[in-house]
Amino acid sequence: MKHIILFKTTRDAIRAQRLCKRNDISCKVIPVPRDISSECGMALEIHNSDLDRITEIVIKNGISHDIYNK
Amino acid sequence: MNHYFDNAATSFPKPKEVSLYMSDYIDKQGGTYGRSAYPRVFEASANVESLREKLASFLGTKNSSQIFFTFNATVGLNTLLFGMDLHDCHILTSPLEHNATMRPLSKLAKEKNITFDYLPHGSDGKIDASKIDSVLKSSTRLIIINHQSNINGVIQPVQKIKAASGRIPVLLDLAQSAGHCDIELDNWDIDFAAFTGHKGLLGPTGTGGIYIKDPDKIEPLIYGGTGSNSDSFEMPSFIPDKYEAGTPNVAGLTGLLGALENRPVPLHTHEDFIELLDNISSIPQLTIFKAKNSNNQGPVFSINHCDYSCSEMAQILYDKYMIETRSGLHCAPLAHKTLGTFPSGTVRFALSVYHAKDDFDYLLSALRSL
Repeated sequence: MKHIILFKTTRDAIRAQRLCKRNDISCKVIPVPRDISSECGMALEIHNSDLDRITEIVIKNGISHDIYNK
Repeated sequence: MNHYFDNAATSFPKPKEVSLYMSDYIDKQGGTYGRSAYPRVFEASANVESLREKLASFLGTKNSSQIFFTFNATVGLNTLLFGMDLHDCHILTSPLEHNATMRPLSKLAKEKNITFDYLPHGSDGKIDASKIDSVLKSSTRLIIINHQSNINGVIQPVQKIKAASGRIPVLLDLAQSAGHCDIELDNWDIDFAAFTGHKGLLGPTGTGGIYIKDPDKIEPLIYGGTGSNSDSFEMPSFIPDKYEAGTPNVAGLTGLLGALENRPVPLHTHEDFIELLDNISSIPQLTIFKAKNSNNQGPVFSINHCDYSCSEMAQILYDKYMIETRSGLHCAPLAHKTLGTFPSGTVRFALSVYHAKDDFDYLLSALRSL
Protein backbone atom coordinates (compact mmCIF):
# COMPACT_ATOMS: atom_id res chain seq x y z
CA MET A 1 0.00 0.00 0.00
CA LYS A 2 1.09 3.57 -0.61
CA HIS A 3 0.37 6.79 1.21
CA ILE A 4 0.07 10.35 0.03
CA ILE A 5 1.35 13.23 2.10
CA LEU A 6 -0.24 16.62 1.52
CA PHE A 7 1.35 19.93 2.51
CA LYS A 8 -0.03 23.42 2.87
CA THR A 9 2.60 25.04 0.68
CA THR A 10 4.98 24.30 -2.18
CA ARG A 11 7.81 25.24 0.15
CA ASP A 12 6.82 22.54 2.62
CA ALA A 13 6.50 19.91 -0.14
CA ILE A 14 10.01 20.75 -1.36
CA ARG A 15 11.44 20.72 2.16
CA ALA A 16 9.86 17.32 2.80
CA GLN A 17 11.18 15.89 -0.51
CA ARG A 18 14.68 17.08 0.37
CA LEU A 19 14.44 15.52 3.82
CA CYS A 20 13.37 12.21 2.24
CA LYS A 21 16.31 12.37 -0.16
CA ARG A 22 18.75 13.24 2.62
CA ASN A 23 17.50 10.26 4.64
CA ASP A 24 17.49 7.81 1.69
CA ILE A 25 13.73 7.47 1.74
CA SER A 26 12.10 6.87 -1.61
CA CYS A 27 9.29 9.27 -2.53
CA LYS A 28 7.59 10.50 -5.68
CA VAL A 29 6.38 14.04 -6.30
CA ILE A 30 2.82 13.87 -7.66
CA PRO A 31 0.00 16.36 -8.31
CA VAL A 32 -2.36 16.69 -5.36
CA PRO A 33 -5.18 14.17 -6.13
CA ARG A 34 -8.35 16.09 -6.90
CA ASP A 35 -10.50 13.64 -4.90
CA ILE A 36 -8.52 14.47 -1.77
CA SER A 37 -8.10 18.21 -2.03
CA SER A 38 -8.80 21.28 -4.16
CA GLU A 39 -5.10 22.22 -4.01
CA CYS A 40 -3.31 22.41 -7.36
CA GLY A 41 0.21 21.87 -6.09
CA MET A 42 2.48 18.95 -5.30
CA ALA A 43 2.19 16.06 -2.89
CA LEU A 44 4.52 13.17 -2.00
CA GLU A 45 3.69 9.53 -2.62
CA ILE A 46 5.50 7.14 -0.28
CA HIS A 47 5.58 3.46 0.53
CA ASN A 48 3.71 2.24 3.56
CA SER A 49 6.92 0.89 5.09
CA ASP A 50 8.42 4.42 5.19
CA LEU A 51 5.42 6.15 6.72
CA ASP A 52 6.58 6.15 10.35
CA ARG A 53 10.05 7.41 9.49
CA ILE A 54 8.80 10.18 7.24
CA THR A 55 6.17 11.25 9.73
CA GLU A 56 8.80 11.50 12.43
CA ILE A 57 11.13 13.53 10.19
CA VAL A 58 8.55 16.05 8.96
CA ILE A 59 7.16 16.58 12.47
CA LYS A 60 10.69 17.09 13.80
CA ASN A 61 11.23 19.76 11.13
CA GLY A 62 7.97 21.57 11.85
CA ILE A 63 6.34 20.76 8.51
CA SER A 64 2.57 20.78 8.65
CA HIS A 65 1.08 17.85 6.68
CA ASP A 66 -1.82 15.44 6.21
CA ILE A 67 -1.56 11.74 5.34
CA TYR A 68 -3.97 9.80 3.12
CA ASN A 69 -4.12 6.13 2.09
CA LYS A 70 -3.93 5.51 -1.63
CA MET B 1 39.29 49.22 -16.09
CA ASN B 2 35.95 49.53 -14.31
CA HIS B 3 34.51 53.04 -14.79
CA TYR B 4 31.04 52.14 -13.51
CA PHE B 5 30.42 53.95 -10.22
CA ASP B 6 26.61 53.74 -10.13
CA ASN B 7 26.26 50.51 -8.18
CA ALA B 8 23.84 52.09 -5.68
CA ALA B 9 21.35 52.37 -8.56
CA THR B 10 22.04 48.86 -9.80
CA SER B 11 25.20 46.80 -9.71
CA PHE B 12 27.29 46.08 -12.79
CA PRO B 13 28.92 43.80 -13.69
CA LYS B 14 27.29 40.73 -12.20
CA PRO B 15 28.94 37.36 -11.56
CA LYS B 16 28.81 35.43 -14.86
CA GLU B 17 26.68 32.78 -13.19
CA VAL B 18 23.76 35.23 -12.99
CA SER B 19 23.18 35.15 -16.73
CA LEU B 20 24.17 31.47 -16.94
CA TYR B 21 21.57 30.44 -14.36
CA MET B 22 18.95 32.69 -15.98
CA SER B 23 19.57 31.53 -19.54
CA ASP B 24 19.56 27.92 -18.39
CA TYR B 25 16.18 28.52 -16.75
CA ILE B 26 14.74 30.40 -19.74
CA ASP B 27 16.17 28.23 -22.53
CA LYS B 28 16.19 24.77 -20.97
CA GLN B 29 14.54 24.36 -17.61
CA GLY B 30 11.42 26.52 -17.57
CA GLY B 31 8.53 25.82 -15.23
CA THR B 32 6.56 27.91 -12.76
CA TYR B 33 6.72 27.98 -8.96
CA GLY B 34 4.44 25.33 -7.41
CA ARG B 35 0.99 24.77 -8.91
CA SER B 36 1.98 21.45 -10.60
CA ALA B 37 4.14 18.44 -9.80
CA TYR B 38 6.09 17.48 -12.91
CA PRO B 39 9.91 17.64 -12.63
CA ARG B 40 10.31 20.95 -14.48
CA VAL B 41 8.11 22.70 -11.94
CA PHE B 42 9.70 20.88 -9.03
CA GLU B 43 13.21 21.97 -10.09
CA ALA B 44 12.19 25.59 -10.68
CA SER B 45 10.43 25.69 -7.30
CA ALA B 46 13.34 23.97 -5.55
CA ASN B 47 15.71 26.67 -6.83
CA VAL B 48 13.44 29.38 -5.41
CA GLU B 49 13.44 27.58 -2.06
CA SER B 50 17.24 27.17 -2.17
CA LEU B 51 17.45 30.93 -2.65
CA ARG B 52 15.22 31.51 0.37
CA GLU B 53 17.60 29.41 2.50
CA LYS B 54 20.66 31.16 1.09
CA LEU B 55 19.18 34.60 1.74
CA ALA B 56 18.37 33.68 5.33
CA SER B 57 22.00 32.87 5.88
CA PHE B 58 23.07 36.13 4.20
CA LEU B 59 20.71 38.18 6.35
CA GLY B 60 21.66 36.50 9.59
CA THR B 61 18.43 34.68 10.39
CA LYS B 62 17.63 31.04 11.01
CA ASN B 63 14.03 31.72 10.02
CA SER B 64 14.14 31.23 6.25
CA SER B 65 10.37 30.60 6.33
CA GLN B 66 9.90 34.26 7.25
CA ILE B 67 11.56 35.60 4.09
CA PHE B 68 9.13 36.50 1.30
CA PHE B 69 9.91 37.50 -2.26
CA THR B 70 8.87 40.81 -3.77
CA PHE B 71 10.03 42.53 -6.95
CA ASN B 72 12.35 44.99 -5.15
CA ALA B 73 12.86 46.76 -1.82
CA THR B 74 10.27 49.43 -2.66
CA VAL B 75 7.49 46.85 -3.07
CA GLY B 76 8.75 45.25 0.13
CA LEU B 77 8.62 48.50 2.10
CA ASN B 78 5.13 49.24 0.76
CA THR B 79 4.02 45.74 1.80
CA LEU B 80 5.32 46.29 5.31
CA LEU B 81 4.17 49.87 5.85
CA PHE B 82 0.68 49.44 4.40
CA GLY B 83 0.25 45.97 5.91
CA MET B 84 0.86 46.99 9.52
CA ASP B 85 -2.46 48.75 10.08
CA LEU B 86 -0.65 51.89 11.20
CA HIS B 87 -3.01 54.71 12.20
CA ASP B 88 -3.24 57.46 14.82
CA CYS B 89 0.33 56.93 15.95
CA HIS B 90 3.89 58.24 15.83
CA ILE B 91 6.82 56.87 13.80
CA LEU B 92 10.54 57.61 14.01
CA THR B 93 12.83 57.36 11.00
CA SER B 94 16.50 57.84 10.32
CA PRO B 95 17.42 61.24 8.85
CA LEU B 96 18.80 59.57 5.70
CA GLU B 97 15.66 57.82 4.43
CA HIS B 98 14.92 57.14 0.78
CA ASN B 99 11.57 58.02 -0.81
CA ALA B 100 10.74 54.29 -0.85
CA THR B 101 9.99 54.92 2.82
CA MET B 102 9.09 58.62 2.85
CA ARG B 103 6.39 58.47 0.16
CA PRO B 104 4.43 55.64 1.83
CA LEU B 105 4.86 57.49 5.14
CA SER B 106 3.59 60.70 3.58
CA LYS B 107 0.47 58.87 2.37
CA LEU B 108 -0.05 57.36 5.82
CA ALA B 109 0.33 60.81 7.37
CA LYS B 110 -2.40 62.21 5.11
CA GLU B 111 -4.84 59.33 5.36
CA LYS B 112 -4.19 57.57 8.67
CA ASN B 113 -3.29 60.37 11.07
CA ILE B 114 0.36 59.32 11.35
CA THR B 115 3.01 61.74 12.55
CA PHE B 116 6.72 61.17 12.18
CA ASP B 117 10.00 62.59 13.47
CA TYR B 118 13.64 61.92 12.79
CA LEU B 119 16.01 60.12 15.12
CA PRO B 120 18.71 62.29 16.79
CA HIS B 121 21.85 62.32 14.67
CA GLY B 122 25.23 63.85 13.93
CA SER B 123 26.09 66.07 10.95
CA ASP B 124 26.71 63.03 8.71
CA GLY B 125 23.29 61.61 9.57
CA LYS B 126 24.58 58.85 11.83
CA ILE B 127 21.97 58.19 14.51
CA ASP B 128 22.95 58.92 18.11
CA ALA B 129 21.44 55.95 19.95
CA SER B 130 22.15 57.53 23.34
CA LYS B 131 19.60 60.29 22.64
CA ILE B 132 16.72 58.15 21.37
CA ASP B 133 14.90 58.39 24.70
CA SER B 134 14.33 62.10 24.08
CA VAL B 135 12.22 61.52 20.94
CA LEU B 136 10.23 58.45 21.98
CA LYS B 137 6.55 59.06 22.66
CA SER B 138 3.93 56.85 24.23
CA SER B 139 2.34 56.70 20.76
CA THR B 140 5.56 55.66 18.93
CA ARG B 141 4.76 52.39 17.16
CA LEU B 142 7.62 51.94 14.72
CA ILE B 143 11.24 52.90 14.08
CA ILE B 144 12.49 52.84 10.48
CA ILE B 145 16.19 52.74 9.70
CA ASN B 146 17.86 52.99 6.32
CA HIS B 147 20.77 50.70 7.22
CA GLN B 148 23.20 52.27 4.74
CA SER B 149 22.67 55.69 3.18
CA ASN B 150 22.49 55.84 -0.61
CA ILE B 151 24.05 59.34 -0.49
CA ASN B 152 27.04 59.30 1.85
CA GLY B 153 27.30 55.60 2.72
CA VAL B 154 26.77 56.03 6.47
CA ILE B 155 26.05 52.67 8.11
CA GLN B 156 23.69 53.07 11.05
CA PRO B 157 24.44 51.44 14.43
CA VAL B 158 21.40 49.18 14.27
CA GLN B 159 22.15 47.07 17.29
CA LYS B 160 22.53 50.11 19.55
CA ILE B 161 19.38 51.71 18.15
CA LYS B 162 17.37 48.55 18.76
CA ALA B 163 18.72 48.26 22.29
CA ALA B 164 17.76 51.88 22.99
CA SER B 165 14.28 51.51 21.53
CA GLY B 166 12.88 49.05 24.02
CA ARG B 167 9.99 47.05 22.64
CA ILE B 168 9.20 49.36 19.73
CA PRO B 169 9.43 47.35 16.50
CA VAL B 170 12.29 48.20 14.12
CA LEU B 171 12.04 48.09 10.33
CA LEU B 172 15.36 47.92 8.49
CA ASP B 173 15.75 49.08 4.90
CA LEU B 174 18.58 46.89 3.59
CA ALA B 175 18.41 48.13 -0.02
CA GLN B 176 21.95 49.51 0.02
CA SER B 177 23.58 47.42 2.73
CA ALA B 178 22.72 43.84 1.73
CA GLY B 179 25.82 42.34 0.18
CA HIS B 180 28.08 45.08 1.57
CA CYS B 181 27.63 44.97 5.36
CA ASP B 182 27.27 42.25 7.96
CA ILE B 183 23.59 41.80 8.70
CA GLU B 184 22.37 39.90 11.76
CA LEU B 185 18.58 40.05 11.85
CA ASP B 186 18.29 37.47 14.64
CA ASN B 187 21.05 38.80 16.88
CA TRP B 188 19.82 42.37 16.45
CA ASP B 189 16.23 41.23 17.13
CA ILE B 190 14.91 43.01 14.05
CA ASP B 191 11.15 42.90 13.48
CA PHE B 192 10.91 43.77 9.78
CA ALA B 193 13.36 44.18 6.89
CA ALA B 194 13.25 44.84 3.16
CA PHE B 195 16.01 44.09 0.65
CA THR B 196 16.64 44.16 -3.06
CA GLY B 197 18.51 41.63 -5.18
CA HIS B 198 20.04 43.82 -7.86
CA LYS B 199 22.43 46.02 -5.86
CA GLY B 200 25.01 44.65 -3.41
CA LEU B 201 23.68 41.11 -3.74
CA LEU B 202 24.68 41.32 -7.46
CA GLY B 203 21.52 39.68 -8.78
CA PRO B 204 19.17 40.80 -11.57
CA THR B 205 16.61 43.60 -11.35
CA GLY B 206 13.08 42.61 -10.39
CA THR B 207 14.17 40.60 -7.35
CA GLY B 208 13.97 41.40 -3.65
CA GLY B 209 12.01 40.59 -0.57
CA ILE B 210 11.02 41.15 3.01
CA TYR B 211 11.62 39.54 6.39
CA ILE B 212 8.84 39.51 8.98
CA LYS B 213 9.54 38.22 12.48
CA ASP B 214 5.85 37.81 13.28
CA PRO B 215 3.78 37.33 10.09
CA ASP B 216 0.51 37.68 12.05
CA LYS B 217 1.26 41.40 12.22
CA ILE B 218 1.28 42.15 8.47
CA GLU B 219 -1.59 41.92 6.01
CA PRO B 220 -0.69 41.15 2.38
CA LEU B 221 -0.42 43.98 -0.13
CA ILE B 222 -1.12 41.84 -3.22
CA TYR B 223 -4.01 39.41 -3.48
CA GLY B 224 -4.36 36.58 -6.01
CA GLY B 225 -3.58 32.99 -6.89
CA THR B 226 -1.04 31.06 -4.87
CA GLY B 227 -1.64 27.48 -5.98
CA SER B 228 -2.99 26.78 -2.49
CA ASN B 229 -6.52 27.01 -0.98
CA SER B 230 -7.68 27.27 -4.59
CA ASP B 231 -11.33 26.66 -3.71
CA SER B 232 -11.46 29.88 -1.70
CA PHE B 233 -11.72 33.59 -2.57
CA GLU B 234 -9.71 34.34 0.59
CA MET B 235 -5.93 34.66 0.69
CA PRO B 236 -4.20 31.86 2.62
CA SER B 237 -3.23 32.86 6.13
CA PHE B 238 -0.13 30.65 6.05
CA ILE B 239 3.32 31.61 4.82
CA PRO B 240 4.94 32.12 2.36
CA ASP B 241 1.73 32.00 0.28
CA LYS B 242 0.15 34.86 2.25
CA TYR B 243 2.67 37.31 0.75
CA GLU B 244 3.44 35.68 -2.61
CA ALA B 245 0.32 35.90 -4.79
CA GLY B 246 0.89 35.60 -8.52
CA THR B 247 3.71 33.95 -10.42
CA PRO B 248 7.04 35.10 -8.98
CA ASN B 249 9.99 36.28 -11.07
CA VAL B 250 11.41 32.76 -11.30
CA ALA B 251 14.01 33.71 -13.92
CA GLY B 252 15.23 36.62 -11.77
CA LEU B 253 15.21 34.64 -8.53
CA THR B 254 17.19 31.88 -10.25
CA GLY B 255 19.71 34.52 -11.34
CA LEU B 256 19.93 35.84 -7.79
CA LEU B 257 20.65 32.29 -6.61
CA GLY B 258 23.49 32.24 -9.18
CA ALA B 259 24.86 35.46 -7.68
CA LEU B 260 24.70 34.26 -4.07
CA GLU B 261 26.26 30.88 -4.86
CA ASN B 262 29.16 32.57 -6.67
CA ARG B 263 30.12 35.63 -4.63
CA PRO B 264 33.25 37.24 -6.08
CA VAL B 265 36.26 38.05 -3.94
CA PRO B 266 36.49 41.87 -3.60
CA LEU B 267 39.24 43.40 -5.72
CA HIS B 268 39.93 46.12 -3.15
CA THR B 269 40.07 46.41 0.63
CA HIS B 270 38.20 48.78 2.93
CA GLU B 271 41.53 50.47 3.59
CA ASP B 272 41.99 51.10 -0.17
CA PHE B 273 38.57 52.74 -0.21
CA ILE B 274 39.22 54.89 2.85
CA GLU B 275 42.53 56.01 1.31
CA LEU B 276 40.59 57.07 -1.81
CA LEU B 277 38.16 59.08 0.34
CA ASP B 278 41.03 60.77 2.18
CA ASN B 279 42.69 61.69 -1.10
CA ILE B 280 39.46 63.10 -2.54
CA SER B 281 38.91 65.07 0.68
CA SER B 282 42.20 66.86 0.08
CA ILE B 283 41.14 68.26 -3.33
CA PRO B 284 40.38 71.93 -2.58
CA GLN B 285 37.63 72.40 -5.20
CA LEU B 286 35.59 69.47 -3.90
CA THR B 287 33.33 68.95 -0.90
CA ILE B 288 32.94 65.31 0.03
CA PHE B 289 29.96 63.76 1.82
CA LYS B 290 30.91 60.62 3.72
CA ALA B 291 30.75 59.08 7.18
CA LYS B 292 32.68 60.94 9.89
CA ASN B 293 34.00 57.66 11.21
CA SER B 294 35.48 55.29 8.62
CA ASN B 295 34.19 52.31 10.63
CA ASN B 296 30.65 53.41 9.67
CA GLN B 297 31.48 53.97 6.00
CA GLY B 298 29.74 51.86 3.38
CA PRO B 299 30.92 51.86 -0.26
CA VAL B 300 29.02 55.01 -1.29
CA PHE B 301 29.98 58.70 -1.13
CA SER B 302 29.03 61.97 -2.79
CA ILE B 303 30.87 65.10 -3.84
CA ASN B 304 30.17 68.63 -5.00
CA HIS B 305 32.42 71.02 -6.91
CA CYS B 306 32.79 74.71 -6.10
CA ASP B 307 32.27 75.79 -9.75
CA TYR B 308 30.19 73.07 -11.43
CA SER B 309 26.68 71.88 -10.66
CA CYS B 310 26.35 68.18 -9.92
CA SER B 311 24.84 67.50 -13.35
CA GLU B 312 27.65 69.38 -15.11
CA MET B 313 30.23 67.43 -13.14
CA ALA B 314 28.58 64.08 -13.95
CA GLN B 315 28.54 64.98 -17.65
CA ILE B 316 32.20 66.06 -17.65
CA LEU B 317 33.22 62.86 -15.85
CA TYR B 318 31.48 60.79 -18.49
CA ASP B 319 32.47 62.83 -21.55
CA LYS B 320 36.15 63.13 -20.62
CA TYR B 321 36.77 59.97 -18.59
CA MET B 322 33.85 57.57 -19.33
CA ILE B 323 33.14 57.53 -15.58
CA GLU B 324 29.49 56.65 -14.91
CA THR B 325 27.90 58.29 -11.87
CA ARG B 326 24.49 59.56 -10.77
CA SER B 327 23.84 63.22 -10.05
CA GLY B 328 20.89 64.94 -8.38
CA LEU B 329 18.84 63.99 -5.35
CA HIS B 330 18.99 60.20 -5.71
CA CYS B 331 15.31 59.79 -4.65
CA ALA B 332 16.37 60.82 -1.14
CA PRO B 333 15.42 64.47 -0.54
CA LEU B 334 15.33 63.91 3.23
CA ALA B 335 18.94 62.70 3.22
CA HIS B 336 20.01 65.72 1.15
CA LYS B 337 18.19 68.08 3.54
CA THR B 338 20.01 66.43 6.45
CA LEU B 339 23.38 66.85 4.70
CA GLY B 340 22.69 70.42 3.52
CA THR B 341 22.70 69.51 -0.18
CA PHE B 342 19.02 70.08 -0.92
CA PRO B 343 17.85 71.01 -3.53
CA SER B 344 21.12 71.23 -5.46
CA GLY B 345 22.05 67.57 -4.96
CA THR B 346 25.42 65.86 -5.35
CA VAL B 347 27.35 63.54 -7.65
CA ARG B 348 27.27 60.06 -6.17
CA PHE B 349 29.91 57.34 -6.48
CA ALA B 350 28.91 53.80 -5.51
CA LEU B 351 31.48 51.04 -5.58
CA SER B 352 31.25 47.32 -6.08
CA VAL B 353 33.48 44.36 -5.31
CA TYR B 354 34.66 44.60 -8.94
CA HIS B 355 36.61 47.84 -8.37
CA ALA B 356 40.37 47.42 -8.00
CA LYS B 357 42.81 49.93 -6.58
CA ASP B 358 43.73 50.94 -10.16
CA ASP B 359 40.14 52.01 -10.72
CA PHE B 360 40.33 54.19 -7.61
CA ASP B 361 43.56 55.77 -8.90
CA TYR B 362 41.89 56.51 -12.23
CA LEU B 363 38.88 58.10 -10.50
CA LEU B 364 41.15 60.17 -8.25
CA SER B 365 43.16 61.43 -11.17
CA ALA B 366 39.96 62.41 -13.04
CA LEU B 367 38.62 64.28 -10.01
CA ARG B 368 41.92 66.11 -9.52
CA SER B 369 41.82 67.30 -13.12
CA LEU B 370 38.32 68.82 -12.92
